[in-house]
Amino acid sequence: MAFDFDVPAAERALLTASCVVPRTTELEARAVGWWRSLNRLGVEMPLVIVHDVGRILATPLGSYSVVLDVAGLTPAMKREGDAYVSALGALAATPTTHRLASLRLRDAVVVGLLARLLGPLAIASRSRGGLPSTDDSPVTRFAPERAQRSWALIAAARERLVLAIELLDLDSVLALMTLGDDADELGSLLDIVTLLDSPDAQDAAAFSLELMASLSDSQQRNAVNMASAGGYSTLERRGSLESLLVSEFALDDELFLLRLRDNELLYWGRERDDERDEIVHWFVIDASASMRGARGVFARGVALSLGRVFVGKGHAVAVRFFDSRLHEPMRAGPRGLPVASVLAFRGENGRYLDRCAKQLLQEIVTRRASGQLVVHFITHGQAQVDKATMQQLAGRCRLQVIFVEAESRPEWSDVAAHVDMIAAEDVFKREQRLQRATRLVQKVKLA
Amino acid sequence: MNTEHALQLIASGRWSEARQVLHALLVDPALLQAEVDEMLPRCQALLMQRNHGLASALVALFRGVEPIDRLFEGVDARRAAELSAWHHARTGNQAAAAEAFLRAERWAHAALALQRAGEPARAHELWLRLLQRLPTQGNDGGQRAFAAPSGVIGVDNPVGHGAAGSYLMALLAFQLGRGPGKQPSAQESWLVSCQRHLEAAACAYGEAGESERAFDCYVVLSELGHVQNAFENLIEGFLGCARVVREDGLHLLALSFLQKAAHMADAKGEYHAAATIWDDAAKQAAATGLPYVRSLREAAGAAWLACARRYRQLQMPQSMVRHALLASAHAFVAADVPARAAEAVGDLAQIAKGAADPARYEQIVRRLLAASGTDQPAGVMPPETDTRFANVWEVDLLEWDLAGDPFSTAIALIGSAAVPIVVRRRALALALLLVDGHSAPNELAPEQQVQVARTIGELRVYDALAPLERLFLSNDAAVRRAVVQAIRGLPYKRSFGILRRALCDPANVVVQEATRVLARFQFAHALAPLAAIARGATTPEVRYAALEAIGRIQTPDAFDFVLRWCREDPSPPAISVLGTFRGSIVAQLAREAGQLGVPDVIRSALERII
Repeated sequence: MAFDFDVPAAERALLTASCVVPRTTELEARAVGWWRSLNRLGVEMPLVIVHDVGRILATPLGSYSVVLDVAGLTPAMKREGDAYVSALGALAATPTTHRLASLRLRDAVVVGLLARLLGPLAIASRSRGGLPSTDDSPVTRFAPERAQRSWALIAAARERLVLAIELLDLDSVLALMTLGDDADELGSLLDIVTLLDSPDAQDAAAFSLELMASLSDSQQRNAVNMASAGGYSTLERRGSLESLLVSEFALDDELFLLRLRDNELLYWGRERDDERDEIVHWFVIDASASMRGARGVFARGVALSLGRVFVGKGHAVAVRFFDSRLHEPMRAGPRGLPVASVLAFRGENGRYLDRCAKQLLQEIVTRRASGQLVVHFITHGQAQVDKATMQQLAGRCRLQVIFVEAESRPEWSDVAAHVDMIAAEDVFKREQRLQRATRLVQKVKLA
Repeated sequence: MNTEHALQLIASGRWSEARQVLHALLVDPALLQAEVDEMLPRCQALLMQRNHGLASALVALFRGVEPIDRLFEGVDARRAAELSAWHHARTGNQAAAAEAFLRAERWAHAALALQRAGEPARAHELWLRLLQRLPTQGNDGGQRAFAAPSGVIGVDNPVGHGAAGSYLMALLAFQLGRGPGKQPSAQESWLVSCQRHLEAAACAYGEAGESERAFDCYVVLSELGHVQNAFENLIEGFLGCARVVREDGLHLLALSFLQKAAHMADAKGEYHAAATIWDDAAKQAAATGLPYVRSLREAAGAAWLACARRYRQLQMPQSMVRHALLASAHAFVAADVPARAAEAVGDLAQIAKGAADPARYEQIVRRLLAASGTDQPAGVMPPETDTRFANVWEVDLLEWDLAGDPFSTAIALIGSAAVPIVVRRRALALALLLVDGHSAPNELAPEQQVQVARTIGELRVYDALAPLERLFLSNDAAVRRAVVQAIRGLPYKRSFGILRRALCDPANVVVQEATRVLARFQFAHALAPLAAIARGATTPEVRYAALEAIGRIQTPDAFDFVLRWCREDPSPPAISVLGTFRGSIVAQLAREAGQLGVPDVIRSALERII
């Protein structure tokens, strides 16, 4: 995340009112980055609040204290300050906060969490006539009365904030940290915010994690590589900083440096196929309204978890949604799958499968890249399409079709290399899930 | 001018004058129905005496008091059959109506009458014949009933092409698929064909900006879902309807469709889908400032809770159950009903036993219960707007069958018991204009076509659009101008089809009339088509006429559009429209816009609003 220090002087001055100490230049720089991203998302909050709440979420317990250490306060201001400290303390004390802090959240995820927690407060404050100034006013020195207004905002919302953090579903955060890449752009930030605010997307995240665990159980160990591609599969003594085990950061500085010098630090190793065939997987997922509910959850969950397996094998993976048109591909990059984008994607702009199939065929026909293409077509049982088009499609790629919660399969599906009919009980029950997931991966082993 | 005068004119053989007087009387809202009822029997008898058989039969059909077959001496056989058919249909004799419609070559009418008469096999055969005789690309067919364009077919889309062709094919396939066939696989094939054509039509109509037509496609799709008992098509239909009406600014109606979709999903055991639909409804209510956010969030909370309990029952993964419970608790908290949130968190504590930290959830339950004394009064659910629309899968086929013929349209209105009496009177006036055997509009003299267009406009019902669309094909600019004038009283989205074509008519008089009509258009739900006209206009007159019409809409969305427009083009006409907005929500938006910094000329308009 790019930090931009060009913030209003009044905001920077207000940081004096911070109650999460010690303040460091580095953490303030991160907070400024969060603050600017929140502003771009339309969540206007004083920098001091963003700093304090963000730090509680993002930094390990024990690395900070929550105290009121501001001079020159009137008794009324002191009371408000104490209430603020108490609210921050309550926030920091929840088990969810502890677990979040232990995850070493990326900045984009911190921004997403802050937007979810502080967004409703910002809206409510705006409708009540505004927040403590976030504009570029000429005030450059600390103004205690402005601090008091910021503190009051959090103190008044204490219960709501604590509940919001307690009721946060950690699966989606874990999915973002485990499966996905980082988000620097506003679009990706919006996706993360949408994901954290959408029970539907969170369900898909939870399901993909479940399915991935099943797939890991069923996979044979492959060779290992140190390149920044592929899924983690083993522990190594060498690697890049990004794959360093989180527990290594818990070492004190001296021991850490010693272990680094002696190559004793542990890194995650990535799995690698022995035969790196040029294999490209397109997960073509129905995003029409017909997929509402469990169908959509399954479709995205299976695409993410299978996608990760194939990325781990060194294959190229892209996810494509369709409704009344075929949407642009979301490709897995060097840092993994675009999890937030896949989970937050919202289609439902009608449904026109015939056109989408023709678009897909056209793209395959004009595709320049070499390598074998596997199309995983995930849709519902009422999906009707021109059989001739699908026949042509099947002639140019390996077509695997998954019908979710379908009672019968449409006639056109005869042309596919493999068809899976998956009912809810298959999807959601552990044994069947494992069996199904394993079979799905095995079917992809190309002739 | 009174009823006696009209009768005297008929008696003295001055039919042409008599017809004008009768027309004026029938469309006069001041004339009591009792007076009309008193006049018509004598009128009918006099017309019979004077050998005006068709006119006499029309009056008899309007009155609906006796068999009219004996009145048909000298009347064109097809017209007589059509009148007879409507008479039988009105009296409930569907079998006789079907035979008469067949003689009148109104095939779709005949097929539907056969279905109602309990003869599905014959109806099926007729639908099949209709489909086989459809001229498709490169195969004109030349059948009268199918060659003439109408609203359904669309003047620019011959049958078999584009949105209209797909829609028509879908409707026919639907009729073939839903009837009792000998082979279930064949029935299924027809329904599959219907679905694919509907998808094509809905998409093409949506992209062409004909949202009302796209809406019809989704209505048929949901009906298809009912016939197939297929959740996927039902939900696609309902949510498609909700999306189209929301884009048209009909937010309450959109909420009604969402409610209906959520109830349907719930009834089908699709709890997860139901919960997400309630979530969406709450978000939409919040975004549009509707006062139902709390109640809809509470409904979402309840749906998530039901979903979680169902998942538990089915022994689904604990993460899915936990997740649904968290969503439920979150929705209940947002709805200010902590007691219900405590119920969801209580379930969380139960499933956490032996695993994670149930004590933590129990603590949250205690906190929620402590706060439950502060529960707000129950929220209000959106009103149950009627989302049952006419059976478009029949109505649109019937309209297509009439091929925009004004005389047949008039008879259909006269013969329908469901049509209000005021409309039936106007329809009778229209039919009497056309009794001289020249019911095909292009066979009439241009001045007569002008009068017919005006009379059709006076009908003030949706059915008037198809004959007007047909009349608009006239080569005579005066007729096209009269059509444009006629749509002033027809505030339907489909009217924009004529308006759009009129705005780029080769004749200046037509363009000028269309611009005048556009500027005076008062249609609260037409922001999207009006905005498209404003953006695409090539002359300032059309551009500002569209802006003027948008100014009459007076909604926050319309205000936002005009404000954005003024930022790009702060011309006096645009600023003048901006200053006409009123209302507390708009004033709040104006205040916020003013704070962001705007040119002085816009600021003064915003101040007028505030």
